[in-house]
Amino acid sequence: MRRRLRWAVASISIAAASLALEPGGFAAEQPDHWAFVPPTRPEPPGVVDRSWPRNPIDRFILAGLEAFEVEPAPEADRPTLLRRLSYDLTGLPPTPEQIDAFLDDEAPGAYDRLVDRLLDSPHYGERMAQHWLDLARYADTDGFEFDHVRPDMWRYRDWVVNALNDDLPYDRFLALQMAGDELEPGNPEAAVATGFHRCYPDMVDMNDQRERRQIALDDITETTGLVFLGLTIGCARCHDHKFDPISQLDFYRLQSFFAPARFDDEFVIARPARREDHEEAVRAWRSELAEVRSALIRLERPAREALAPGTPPDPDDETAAAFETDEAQRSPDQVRLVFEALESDRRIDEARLGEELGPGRVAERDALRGRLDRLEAAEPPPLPRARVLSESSAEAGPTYLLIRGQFGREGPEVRPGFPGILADEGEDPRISPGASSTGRRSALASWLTEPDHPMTGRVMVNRLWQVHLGRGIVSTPSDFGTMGMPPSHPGLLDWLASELPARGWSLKAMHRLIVTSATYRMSTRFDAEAHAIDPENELFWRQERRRLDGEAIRDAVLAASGLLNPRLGGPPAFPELPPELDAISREGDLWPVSPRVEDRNRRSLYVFVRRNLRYPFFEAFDRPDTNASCPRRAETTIAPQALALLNDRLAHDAASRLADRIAREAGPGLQPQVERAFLRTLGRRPDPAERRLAAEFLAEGGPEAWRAFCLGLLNLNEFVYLD
Amino acid sequence: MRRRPGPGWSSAGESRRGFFREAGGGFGLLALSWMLQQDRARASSDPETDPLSPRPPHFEPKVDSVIFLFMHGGPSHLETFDPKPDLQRLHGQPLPESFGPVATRRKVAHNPLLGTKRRFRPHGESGIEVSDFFPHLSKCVDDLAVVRSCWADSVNHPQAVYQMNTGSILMGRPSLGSWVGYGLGSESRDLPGFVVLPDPAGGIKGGPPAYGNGFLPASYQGTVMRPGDDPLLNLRPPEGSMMSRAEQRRMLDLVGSLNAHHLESRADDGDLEARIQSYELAYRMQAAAPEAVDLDRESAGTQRLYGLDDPATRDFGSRCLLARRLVERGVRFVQLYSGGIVGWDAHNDVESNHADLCRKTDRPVAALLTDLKRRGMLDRTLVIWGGEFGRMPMSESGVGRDHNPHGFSYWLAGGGIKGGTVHGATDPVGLRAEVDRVHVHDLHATILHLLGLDHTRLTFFHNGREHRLTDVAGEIVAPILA
Repeated sequence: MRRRLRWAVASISIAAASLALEPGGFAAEQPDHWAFVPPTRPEPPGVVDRSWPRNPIDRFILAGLEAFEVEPAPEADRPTLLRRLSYDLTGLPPTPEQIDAFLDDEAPGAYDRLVDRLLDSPHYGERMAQHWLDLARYADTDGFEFDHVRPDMWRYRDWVVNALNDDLPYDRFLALQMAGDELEPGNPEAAVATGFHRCYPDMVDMNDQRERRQIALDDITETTGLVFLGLTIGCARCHDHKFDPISQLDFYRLQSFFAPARFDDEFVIARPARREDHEEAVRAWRSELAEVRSALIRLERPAREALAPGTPPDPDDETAAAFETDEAQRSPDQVRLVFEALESDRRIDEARLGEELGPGRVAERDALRGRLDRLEAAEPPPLPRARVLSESSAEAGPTYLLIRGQFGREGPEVRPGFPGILADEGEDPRISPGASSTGRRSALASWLTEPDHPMTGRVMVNRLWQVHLGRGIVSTPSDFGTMGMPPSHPGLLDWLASELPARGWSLKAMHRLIVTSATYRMSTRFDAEAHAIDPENELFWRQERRRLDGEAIRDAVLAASGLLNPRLGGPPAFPELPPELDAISREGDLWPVSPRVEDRNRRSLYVFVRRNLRYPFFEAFDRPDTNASCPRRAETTIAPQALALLNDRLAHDAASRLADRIAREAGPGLQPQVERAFLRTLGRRPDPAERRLAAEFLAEGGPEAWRAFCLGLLNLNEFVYLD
Repeated sequence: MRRRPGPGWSSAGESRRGFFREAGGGFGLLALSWMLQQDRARASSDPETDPLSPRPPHFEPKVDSVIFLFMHGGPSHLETFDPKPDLQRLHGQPLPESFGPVATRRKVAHNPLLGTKRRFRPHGESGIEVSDFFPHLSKCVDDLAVVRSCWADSVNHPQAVYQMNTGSILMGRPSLGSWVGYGLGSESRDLPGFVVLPDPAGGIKGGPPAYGNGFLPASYQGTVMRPGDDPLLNLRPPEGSMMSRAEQRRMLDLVGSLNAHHLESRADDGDLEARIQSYELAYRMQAAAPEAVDLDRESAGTQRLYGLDDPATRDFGSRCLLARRLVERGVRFVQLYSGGIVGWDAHNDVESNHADLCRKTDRPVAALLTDLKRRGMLDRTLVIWGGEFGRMPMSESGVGRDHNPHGFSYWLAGGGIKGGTVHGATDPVGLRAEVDRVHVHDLHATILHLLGLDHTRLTFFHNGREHRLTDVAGEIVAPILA
């Protein structure tokens, strides 16, 4: 019997959505859209097959399957599980050694140990950061006409990687990105986290700089709604939301939490002590410079006076003032001005000055000049900087609602406030101003991280679920409103959402929970009966087969061949561009290819993100354009992807290196070599049919056949898909 | 299997071209097996897996393809298609108070008015007045519908470039060509559906987002093509690769066999099938794309028509001719850019700037219209000419003109267009569109209409709402339609 799924909650949501279309007072009529009601912790349901569940997640999933009489897919085999886990948790393939270690580990708990090893890997943070940066619309440039580089943006990227690797609790992870500067005023590292709100595209030369700021604030407000609240609050910028109970007032009240913030592009990341040390070092360096310059001035004075008396002609005001200041009273800067004016005195010929000085003084002078050169080269390096939000006053200026969202059309003044549908009646933000900040953003952060917040936990656990099961429990992960999809498993979503704070907001704990479930461990095997009942796999009767994203494909190509440079963090890398783009890349340092090959072969996460020149390999494989928060990537299959893997230098270099590596690692003998090549690329050994195809291919074609063979492996469906 | 010992790719130039000719000429058994595989994939796959498969329009279209001649930098309507006797009369005087405050980029509002040095004369049966900057194009006026009342929202280049291409002054919305690809798919099986031919002199103000897919799937983004041996990225193995064509064929065969083996236990998966098919398409593109851009295949007469014999017109002429060849091969939307980083942005001296660019483009543009017409293609093609905005009637630095989004000209020609029409008018000095105003959204609505698409029904759901190219506006400019 064929039965299509009909979720009760779906029809409730649709009914609620139609209510919202009624004009006026929607909020009152629609208080019970599922997402606006705080989650209660449901008891995992009872199931008939008590042997299948490995943890409570599975009871939710199995209850659904049993209700529709669908059999769950069997557990995937070990090589498949290892490959899936490695890519999901670290974005990298397992090595042959890791494969053998896992396959040989017969002791109980082998799988759990594998999960722990992967969660402890520093590459875990890199992989998860990639997902987060999609949400943050991260880029290393401004966009628009000039597309200027943001030289310090990567420090925010590194903050995300480190926070995830350190398993910073999600409530803190969120709060610091909202208000790190306010929450930890003594800790400049925390301010880096607010870089989340500085990733918007920006037209720096806009005629009206106040309008430029307004556009940024609109972007920040909209992105906050999408990423943390799972609400398309940006739709309420010009008018009340058409479908969700979000008013235009809600939009500007949310915006006013951010309105006092300064957009600081050169925030110095250093604690007071280090900052003082640095300032002291700079002071010492400057005064030593002044000392040497003064010595040179004194040494040359008699000769200069003899050749051309008085001050050099046409000094600017500052220089003239410096000359008039008594020598002992001159500041280091004034010494520099005097020194530079004398050095460039056109009245005095360099050779004549030497004659006038005489050999003894010339020797003395050269020694001093040598010392000066060395000093100038020894400037204390600047302190690291970051793009952040900061505030300097406890007072905030007014925020206005903008009529129809138009800049300059100010409506009534608004105060900070939470969206009405999510806040209790009369719940005003408790804002406590600090010494030099309004405290608004920390008030927002503290509301967002309340353990029973209806949105925060649900939205985040749903994103984690999407990472591991290919599709969220809510398949519109940044839209939990009435136009979004209802959850396929509302009980499971709420259970996970309550589990997150219960586990100390630990994201690693949540990942572990999901990937150790029987649900996650199912194979992708097709089943005609299950498919007939649930063609979209909404019940999760099997794992979803997923194509790797472009970043993971590039990393996999580099890793398989041994070219990958696994170094963590630091400024962005510039791999080579296809030769067709050479002219562009040379033009004005748009893409200064990293001089060292090992830097070009760093992980994809570190590849420079230029808004106006997407790295072509990623662009072909559906990388989002970073101009808006992207909760779920498109997954297309187009010919340019095939061309990239067939013909790009990346693929060819990797294939050559892989061929060399196989020869080196496997030693002589065709079959061991073929086996090694399969392990390196597909994470498993070939079956007899594949051995035969490989042998036939390698039997002819001469020395180039191995490279072609390796390139072929990198182009296989199996290489870019996860079972 | 028949294999040719064809020349390796590793040697440059001539041998590569030889390969493409050979590959384009005769497919071997391998190609046959790909074809069969493709047929199988087509039979089993639903359109969802191939985002570029053709889709029916909303209603009967007037045209199948669009060639958009984008004059980058903002050409002056006052020197080209919009004669203003009153401006000549008021030359040297300030803008009369009655015009009110003017938003400008470079504070030129109080500068004296600048008459044009150009002479306008009526042409053709329609008698449309065109300036003497266009001796060739003026012979085609009876095919043009000139809109003299366009207006847009931003005085800044990137925002205006974005708006003319995507409808929005913000960065990152899908471009017109992407929307058309999304709405109609592609007629070409071996070429991209939306091709961009940039000016070799350099970047577009605002960059690739001007032809980006925005929130639409990446398969709809504009693909940059260049004349010459490397029209598309990654069309052949990299320089220095030892892989010969024969080896690539053998390797693709191996990939095909291993993929087929992999698919045996995953027969339900349309995405895996689609990816196998995409390799077949990629294989054909390697031959089809160089063939499409090979202008040597055109007759000497045609090459001359487009001005390929003249250094001034060779570049833009090549791209106009290329546009015709692409449209001929089923490419849906071709966008050509005239003007490098500065382009038509005549702040300093509108005369010398426009004289140079008109000289470079006039003959090729006229040739494109003539050539399309004589081949019977103009009926099914829409040609559009214009920039991101026009220019101010007030002078800048004496002889230049600042940006003017308040009023400027566009022209359209081809299927469904009423040739020999003038639509709308600017005020007496050409500052603002005044009569029958046509906003960018209206132009977009009209272009989609000619392609058989209703701009209010061509929508995509993203971040909480249905988005349109024309946002919540857009009126079809009916008077210019045949």
